[in-house]
Amino acid sequence: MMKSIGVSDVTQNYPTGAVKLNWNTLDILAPQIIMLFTTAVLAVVIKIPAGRSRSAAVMIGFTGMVLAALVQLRGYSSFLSGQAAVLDGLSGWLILDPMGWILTFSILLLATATIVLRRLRNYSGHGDGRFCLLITLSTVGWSLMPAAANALVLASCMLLGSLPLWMLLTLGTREDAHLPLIHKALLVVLAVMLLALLSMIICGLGVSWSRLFIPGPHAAVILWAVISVVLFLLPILFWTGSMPLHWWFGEAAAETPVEVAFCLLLIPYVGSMAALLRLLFTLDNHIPAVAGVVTLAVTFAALMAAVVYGVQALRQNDFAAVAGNLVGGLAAMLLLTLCVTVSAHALPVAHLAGGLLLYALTVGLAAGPALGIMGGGKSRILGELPEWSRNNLLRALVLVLALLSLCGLPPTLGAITRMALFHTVNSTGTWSGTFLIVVNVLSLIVGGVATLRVAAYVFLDRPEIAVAAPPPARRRPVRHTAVGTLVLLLVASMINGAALLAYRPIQHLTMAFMPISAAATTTVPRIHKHHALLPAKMPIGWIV
Amino acid sequence: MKPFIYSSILTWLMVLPLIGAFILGILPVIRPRLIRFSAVAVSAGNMLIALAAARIFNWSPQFADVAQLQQNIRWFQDLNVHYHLGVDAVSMVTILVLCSISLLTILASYGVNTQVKAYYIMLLLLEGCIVGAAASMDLFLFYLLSTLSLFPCFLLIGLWGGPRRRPAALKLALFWIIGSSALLGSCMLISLATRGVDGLAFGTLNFARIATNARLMRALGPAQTWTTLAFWLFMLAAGIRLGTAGLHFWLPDALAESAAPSAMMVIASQFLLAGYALVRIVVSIFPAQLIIWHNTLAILGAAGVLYGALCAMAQSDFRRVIAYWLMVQAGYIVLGVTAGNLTGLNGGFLLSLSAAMTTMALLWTSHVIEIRANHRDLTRLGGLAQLIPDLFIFSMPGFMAALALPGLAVFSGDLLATIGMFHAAAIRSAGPLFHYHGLLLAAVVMCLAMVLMAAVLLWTIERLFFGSGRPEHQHFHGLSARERLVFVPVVLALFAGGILPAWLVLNPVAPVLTALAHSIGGAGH
Repeated sequence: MMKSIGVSDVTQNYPTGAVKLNWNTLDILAPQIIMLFTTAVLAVVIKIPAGRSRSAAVMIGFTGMVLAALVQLRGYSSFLSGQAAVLDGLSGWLILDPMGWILTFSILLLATATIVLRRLRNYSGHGDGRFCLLITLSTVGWSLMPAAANALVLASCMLLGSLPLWMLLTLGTREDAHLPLIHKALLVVLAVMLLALLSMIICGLGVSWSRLFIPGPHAAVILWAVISVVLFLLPILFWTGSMPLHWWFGEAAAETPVEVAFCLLLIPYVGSMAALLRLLFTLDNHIPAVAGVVTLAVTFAALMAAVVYGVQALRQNDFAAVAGNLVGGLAAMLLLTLCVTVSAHALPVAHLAGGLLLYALTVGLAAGPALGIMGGGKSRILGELPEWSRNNLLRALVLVLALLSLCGLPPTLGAITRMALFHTVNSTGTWSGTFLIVVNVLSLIVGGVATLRVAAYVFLDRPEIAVAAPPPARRRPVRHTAVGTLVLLLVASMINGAALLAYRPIQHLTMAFMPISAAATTTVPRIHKHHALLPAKMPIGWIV
Repeated sequence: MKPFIYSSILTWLMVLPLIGAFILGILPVIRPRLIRFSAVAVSAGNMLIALAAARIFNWSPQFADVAQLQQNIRWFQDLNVHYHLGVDAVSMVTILVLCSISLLTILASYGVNTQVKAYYIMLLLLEGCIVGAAASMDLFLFYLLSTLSLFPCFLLIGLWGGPRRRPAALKLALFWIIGSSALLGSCMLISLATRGVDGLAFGTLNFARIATNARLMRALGPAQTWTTLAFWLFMLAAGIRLGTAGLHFWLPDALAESAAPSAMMVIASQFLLAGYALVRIVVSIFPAQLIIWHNTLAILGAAGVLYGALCAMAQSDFRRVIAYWLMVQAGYIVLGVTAGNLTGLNGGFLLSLSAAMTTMALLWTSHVIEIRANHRDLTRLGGLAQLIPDLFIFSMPGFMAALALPGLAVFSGDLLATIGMFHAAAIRSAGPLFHYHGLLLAAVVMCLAMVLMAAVLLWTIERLFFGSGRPEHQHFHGLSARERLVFVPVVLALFAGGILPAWLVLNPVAPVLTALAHSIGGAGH
């Protein structure tokens, strides 16, 4: 069974101190290299005039970022044997361990896919520059989140990632889109993030001051720490689409252009999962009672979200909304699995991370282009889908396969994701495992039925009036995307490449995240350890 | 070279139809004859490979229960999922019959004229999936391929059928998705239960390994609550595919609304695959649960058999009569397995083969009638023995087999399943537990249902064939060469299965079924 490593273990495994930089120690600088590339991309985006060349430059930049992330691949053995060191001065800010690498890599891949998606849509070019700029900024924030070594960096990254996405919502929305509510909600979430950041700073200061002036724990500091955790949890729940902050998932998928929906639904999700992993594992290591309460709350939120997404997916008449809700359903299941494994103190991190990456790949590489081939701006009402199987059978087939992937049915990559989720139960207790299996089976059935509904519209209905085939200029990119998606969906899952990519690097991985220093690691455990103000096992009522 | 061929022959059996489907996809739509010919060639080629595999297979009793022609490739190391194909005698026989069903269906489909290419692609995809599922030794692979077969089945019913084919296809898919999800849940619970046993960090899904390893079997024993859940989830999945009572709601609609040739493939093959899963997989990994729950299963099965027979009496659509007859046979299979002895298992397995073939004969009869009369309403038909005498001759073995006439295939299966149930009731009723009388009740109901079903089918024959022909049916012409060509092998198979069941099926599979019967403690009864 995997065992998580707390802050002290991390310190043991990552001795700080000056390291002589050479080719062999380059991997420890991976986060910094990624950051450098991102900055370079930003500079390019600002300098080069809008148009195709700018898009090309951005794509090259992103490719560089992905390659930079791959540098990390070299360093696993040294990291795992605990011989690697973290450079002085940078050690407190960014550390990219294998787990973090996987998440960062996922985010970079998703961001790259977004840019590719933008290109594939044969977009007119309107707002292209701003789009690239915002997506780049956002990627900086989200991709560094898994590498952030303390709470301040983590919260800052989250803010940096979220703000451009809020601005992105204003770009290229459909004429009849209804997004003001999402706008406002996102603004509120941003404010909450800011509060969380401030709260953590104050909390940290409070701890220091209390140590200086008060010979014991101060209730206000403890309360402040809990408030910080809660404030931090709220945006995470928002970005992971958990109850009660779930409602925007389907709406964002339906009302925004494909690539914006893609960014909104996926990139923050993976980043937030990284943050949640840290939060839960850190709390679990140091104050299990608080971890228990938080885990219970998130479990409930995820479970409710899974139910709601399932119902929503069955009720929607817009294809994109169906897909969005299926994404939400799978996301909720992943979150639920995480919570149950944490509460079972099992931590099958390798599989969970594998599940995460596979999830990202599944949705990113399958649903994204599938949404993209909708042919931007056209109607996406289910009743109008029958023309698809007449005009472009391949497109119709890919659409249904993408949905199958989203709900996790074979023969798609999504089935492997679902399999990875199922296998996390191996490390949980029996009852937790059975609970997870039952919920997963139910969610699979609901997703399958939603997919079935779309498939019936696509294949079994006849269009009421004959619809002319689209012009060749528009058919070509659609065909290319469809073939690409088909290959990814069918071949990738069969040849196991993605699964290997996910599992090889983390076969022997132990959890090595640096914790959220201010709120959990420094403040509460110390108070908890040295003073009897808090009971050994904190009752739920204490928090409520 | 030889070992390579031996180890990959099952993969070729699965892959050839898929390659064929791909080739068909490339062929021009405007050449339907070429498409049909290619599909027949691919399916015939697959049949030849199946025969070659049967030739290579070592049928001697000491080897027949051992997995042969194995190909085992590690697929997902951390998930302990293997691409593991292999056959014992039971799966080899099943694969041979599945390939025959597929070839016959493709031959029978020459009359399909709409969206020909897509139709044959779906048939070949389905063939690849079901053959692969029957050959898989890993439960995840079995789940994957059996779930994958849903897609072609859904389209075959939904695109080439009657006016209400859309809801019928949706209903089928809905039920099968529930079944597939239950199967996946069961697989994961099995994996959960076997983790940590014999150094398997993530458990195992290899059912042959589980069946032969006492520690793994103990881990899956009834002491654990979740293994009971796994058992019932598996039974739910198999029951849905079989169309047992209570889980059958998709079956009458799918049969009534689909085109006959596609229904032959979809229904017969899935029925056979589900019967195989019940006899070969459920018995091998859940013997203890079968003993514990046999009373419940017997009562459920008996109720289903009776309910199916009564429902069949109320039908006026010939296809729906076939559907409810099939439901009754599904009940017999469940009861044969529930009996838990060699006789019952023999009956269950033989019945899954013979009922599949009989369904094909009956469906083809309905198709022949429908293309002449444009309907299948039994109240508006009659006198067909005079109008189409050769149809009467060729279809009668199918009807006689269905009403379990001695000398035809279904009789042996029904009889063995019923005797097996009587034996189980007699042996277990001697014990102190009075609830074993559920088995006796089931055995009595099986006899009663056999009589009821015979009456229904005789009535159906009377309504179809006897009396004077209606004036509007006088133009009916005799069977074409193609129609006879489809009838002949099916009829021969029905006679062969009835006259030589032991030589053809029971003796070759005896080592496997004896081992299975031993595992549930009912061997020799």
